[in-house]
Amino acid sequence: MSADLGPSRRRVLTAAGAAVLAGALSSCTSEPTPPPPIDPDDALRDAAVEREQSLLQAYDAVLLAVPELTARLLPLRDQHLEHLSAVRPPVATPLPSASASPPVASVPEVPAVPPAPPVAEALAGLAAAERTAASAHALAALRAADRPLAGLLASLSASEASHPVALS
Amino acid sequence: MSEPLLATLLAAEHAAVYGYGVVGARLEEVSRAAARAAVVSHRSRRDQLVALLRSLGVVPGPALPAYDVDARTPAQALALAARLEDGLSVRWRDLVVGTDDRSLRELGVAGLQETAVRAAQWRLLAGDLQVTLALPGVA
Repeated sequence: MSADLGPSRRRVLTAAGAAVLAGALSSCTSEPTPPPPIDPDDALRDAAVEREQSLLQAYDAVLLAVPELTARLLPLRDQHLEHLSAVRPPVATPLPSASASPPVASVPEVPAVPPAPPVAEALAGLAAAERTAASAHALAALRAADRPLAGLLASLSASEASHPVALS
Repeated sequence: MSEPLLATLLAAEHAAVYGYGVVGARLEEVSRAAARAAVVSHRSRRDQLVALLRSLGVVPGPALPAYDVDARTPAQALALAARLEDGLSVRWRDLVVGTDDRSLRELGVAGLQETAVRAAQWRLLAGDLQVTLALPGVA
């Protein structure tokens, strides 16, 4: 493409480019107002919330498919609910309205019921999901700038690392 | 800055190594292997902390001659083991919260995970209904 640019045309373009660049630089401060930078710790919180939500969905799917595991799985599922509210305390978040967006954990979107997996397979699947989440929480704990957040993520990680003990 | 945390952790690991001696003496044979594995792990964390403190120019504190731990039955031994691990979880978490140093945090997270897993294993062996904690290390 640059091959068809004659010298004169290139000079014109360069000049124009400089002008545009200068304009862009000067307007940077005034007009477009870039969105406020995302707090990296907030992103870590969001990711932790997502992990907890998908663990809850995994538990709900197994509970639906293998109801005889209910007594065994509910205590673990409850701990994920605790995790969720520890990362995002429901009261502390000043959301615009209480009516609009439903609380994160209460409406699990359970996909169409798959054929019931064997119990051992279902437990192994949950244990694997717990371990994956534990590793991700652990990494996030290392990255958190806020120390209490690091401690919380470390606790979530340890809790989830221990859940397979109850799933074995 | 993290030296006091590491020193506290070392003291707790000393106590755990001693405590597992009491635990192991009271456990039934089936659970003893788990206690032996736990002691090996705690000794290795203890030695790691000793080396870490020395590298920071701090003289590591010695183990006390005895600690106030008691278990007379296998059930009490299982409960004591879980308690030892829960207590250590708090210390390891303190390390995570008390430092910005990535490798110390990594150590803290690993220690917290290990103690939470072992505490759950002890509670499982004890037949407890609630085996795991939602927030290990939160006192």
